[in-house]
Amino acid sequence: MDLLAQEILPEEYFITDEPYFEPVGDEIAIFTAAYKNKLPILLKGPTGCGKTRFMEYMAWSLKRPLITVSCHDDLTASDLVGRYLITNGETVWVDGPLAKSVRAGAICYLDEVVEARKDTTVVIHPLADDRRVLPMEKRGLVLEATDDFCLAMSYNPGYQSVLKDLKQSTRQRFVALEFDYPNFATEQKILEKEAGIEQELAKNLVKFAQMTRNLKGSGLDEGASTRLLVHAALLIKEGIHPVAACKGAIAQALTDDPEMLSAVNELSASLF
Amino acid sequence: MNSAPLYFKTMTDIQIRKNADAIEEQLDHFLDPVLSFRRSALGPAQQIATLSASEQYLCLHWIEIITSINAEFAYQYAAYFSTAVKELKHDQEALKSWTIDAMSAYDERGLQLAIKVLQQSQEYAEHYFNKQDGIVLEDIQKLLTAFVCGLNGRSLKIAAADTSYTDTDSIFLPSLISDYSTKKENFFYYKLLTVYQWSQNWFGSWRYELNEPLNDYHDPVKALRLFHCLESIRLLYKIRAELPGFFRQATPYLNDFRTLENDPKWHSICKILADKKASVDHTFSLLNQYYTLLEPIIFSFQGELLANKVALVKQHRISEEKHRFREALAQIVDEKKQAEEKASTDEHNTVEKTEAVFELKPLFAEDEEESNEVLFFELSLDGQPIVPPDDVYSLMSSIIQDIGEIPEDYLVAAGPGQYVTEQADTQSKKSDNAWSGVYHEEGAFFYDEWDYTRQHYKKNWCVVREMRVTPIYDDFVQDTVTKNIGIVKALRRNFEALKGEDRLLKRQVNGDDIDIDAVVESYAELSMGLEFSERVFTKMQREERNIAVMFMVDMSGSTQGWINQAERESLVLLCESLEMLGDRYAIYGFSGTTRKRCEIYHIKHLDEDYNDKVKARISGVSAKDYTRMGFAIRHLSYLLEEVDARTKLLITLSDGKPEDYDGQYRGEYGIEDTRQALFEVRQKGIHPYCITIDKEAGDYLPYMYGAANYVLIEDINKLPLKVSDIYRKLTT
Repeated sequence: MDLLAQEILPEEYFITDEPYFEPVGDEIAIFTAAYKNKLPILLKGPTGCGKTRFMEYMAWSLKRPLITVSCHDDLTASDLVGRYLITNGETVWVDGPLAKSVRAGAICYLDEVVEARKDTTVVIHPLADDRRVLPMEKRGLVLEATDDFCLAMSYNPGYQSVLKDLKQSTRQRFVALEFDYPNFATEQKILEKEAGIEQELAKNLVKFAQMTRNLKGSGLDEGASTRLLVHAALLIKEGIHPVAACKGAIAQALTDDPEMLSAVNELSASLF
Repeated sequence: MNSAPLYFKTMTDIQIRKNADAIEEQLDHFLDPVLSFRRSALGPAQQIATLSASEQYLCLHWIEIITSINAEFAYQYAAYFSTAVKELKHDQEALKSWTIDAMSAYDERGLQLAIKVLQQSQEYAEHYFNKQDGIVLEDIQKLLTAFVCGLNGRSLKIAAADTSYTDTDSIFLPSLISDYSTKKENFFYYKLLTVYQWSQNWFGSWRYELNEPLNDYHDPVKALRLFHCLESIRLLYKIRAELPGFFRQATPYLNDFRTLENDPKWHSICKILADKKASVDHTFSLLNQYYTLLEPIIFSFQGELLANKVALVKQHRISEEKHRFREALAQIVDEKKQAEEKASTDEHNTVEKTEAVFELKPLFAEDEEESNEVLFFELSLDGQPIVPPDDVYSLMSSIIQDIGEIPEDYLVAAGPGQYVTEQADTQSKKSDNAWSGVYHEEGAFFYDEWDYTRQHYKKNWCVVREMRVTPIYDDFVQDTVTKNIGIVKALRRNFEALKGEDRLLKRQVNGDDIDIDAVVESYAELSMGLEFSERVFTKMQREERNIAVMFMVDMSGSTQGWINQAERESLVLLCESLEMLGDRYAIYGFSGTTRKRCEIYHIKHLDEDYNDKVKARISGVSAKDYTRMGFAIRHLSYLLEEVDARTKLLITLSDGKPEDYDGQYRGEYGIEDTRQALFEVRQKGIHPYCITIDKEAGDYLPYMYGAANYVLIEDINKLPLKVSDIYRKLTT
């Protein structure tokens, strides 16, 4: 049987093709400067505005592997550092993604870091200041980061509850980059390039996105993200009617409230 | 008149058609207070006698209920009932709806309006039967509000009125549309009206005061009509460009417009107004040009232009927004100054204090062709561009919508003096003074109340206010803790155990560490030829408590004395224990006199610390008036609903049945309303629980809360201990 998918170790996975990223400010320059000076980076911004794509772009540009950890509320420090496993009757240490990154001099990207358990800060803090070491408590040693290693994390200040705010002691270790949805022209350009659609359609999609963003706080928790727009654009390109594409790719993704759904659908029907 | 009370609850009563005498006898009984020798129940009785048995039953049943509200109202109801039956085509559902409508009118606006509803049964019937295919604004109000909010610009409210118009703050629409044969078409027509009124706001129809220029014409009414027509044409072109999909769907409704577009007389006008840069100025100049030459066309959807209403709203908003904008600028300056001062102390420099200079730079859309409207403004302070907060941004766009720009004099940060006066003005309306002032119901919360006799809600029945407990700074809390130090210690220990310490889970498939015992066992099993178990890890698990709990404390008059004392002591012990646990909890008291004066006393809100103020408030909890429970449950569950927590609890501490001054709430009515309120609470995913000391609670509490959701504490002295104990049980 021919296996199509290729197995690659994360620390050896380099992004070879330039990912499409449309800068909206000086984020690339700031990231590069921070990386040179071994400063950790915090990306703030709403979902789907391009944080992960930016990381991919930076990994490509700096020619380092990118190891992404999506944090969830059960993620512990040992999930990041590593643990003992049993193989052939022996206990064998296996590195976690953070340890792998430190060893390989990769970029470790902790996505939605506030979701992780509190004890993860124990391993993040020493890596995020000038010590740049990863304590491996269970093995009784510390791992010193090379110059290539970079720690980055993302955080969405919008929808976390007060309980899950990032602690001052953590956030004050990072260089923060704020992301937001791009302006009209940039977002339109992104849609044209990323999904390969016509200018007119891209314009209307962005217009629609702004309509949903007008509703933020008045029935919707978030407006449509750039990512959702790309989804809708791809569907339309395949021949789906724009109203149906917006309904499936955007409206349904934004809300379950039937009245808000109808309102959002009415808005897209008004445009297309 | 000494007939025995007549109730109509047996089937035989329903089946048998009554004659006028029998009905008069019953009416005499019900309507006794409003009958006299000049006004008897004979007339209504004779009319009712002509109805069918089931209609008679319905009528008398409602009269009995309405009598308990107002006898005059009931008399009028009896008098108009038979006419309504005819108008409503003997449709009993329609009759019921008409009755409920009249009662709601009475609840909300008094007898006169209720009687008006009774009188206008013909209109009601028309409305009711139209509704079958028509669309009622109330049903789609939320949808339309969201729709308009999404479209752009200032978020406009949607409200009902006789015709459609806008005052630039709200869009007014007819309360029912049934002109078309299907619901879909009627709905679209609503959308058309909404979009058209929105376009007046967004495309600047109201940029200038309208009365003045129109009054210059010989016939201002005709000028207004022509202006309305021309402006509508302009707006339709704008809508076509902005919302092409909508415009396409609207084609069947725009026949007038099509004809007009093809009419050579209008050709040149359409050409000017269709231009992308056409503004209201163009409309005015066309009006001037064609005033004597053209007869205006009235579009079906155009509604009215009510310049006076707009002027009123706009004037108020402009001055308010100017004020708010300048205050926002002052805040931005403040923040900048603070940052600079901080920086200057770091660098040991002094910053020269200069007047802050704000500047605005319009940013046009990228392709100039697009529009002549300025899309964005860049705000800069002392030459540096700044990003205003979202609220300031929407304020700016609202100002631009009104005036077309942000005038120079707006760009001066408000001085400190003005700020203070504004504050003083708003602060003077403290809720504590509410009952004494004239703004009795202003700013209060309104809650419906369940009337079991009607099997319907009384709309906005209870006027609820959050009041403050007068804090008493004494040693009550300290004394209670000292007195019960043993209990407090025991409770703390108990609660600490609940805290969800890390638990080591053994034999896990995945985990932080290896479970050596499990590994050894697995190897033993393997050597016996069994399968090697995968469960060889240990895992630390922490049960995170995600609980929000609301305590609702009875502050009715009957708690005076030792019950109040016990309640307060319970609260102290609870707080001491809960602080240990870290659960979020709030404490509110409730009391009141009649539906017009329902009071919720804030003692501690969810995210408030257990500080001296809270302690003083607990000490200040005192016995007030009556025990109307429904509103308290509704208000507190409303507060709780806003909170994000996995488990939500509403715990009531009470000493007795619901009751109120007016007598009506006592007994079945109060119990049914409370029960209904608790239903609503459960629907919101909140668990209600009741702790009571009323020895007769077994008679009614299981009915209201469910058998497992209440507890009776016989010995009041044990209340403090029990309450904490119960809490522990409830939340684990």
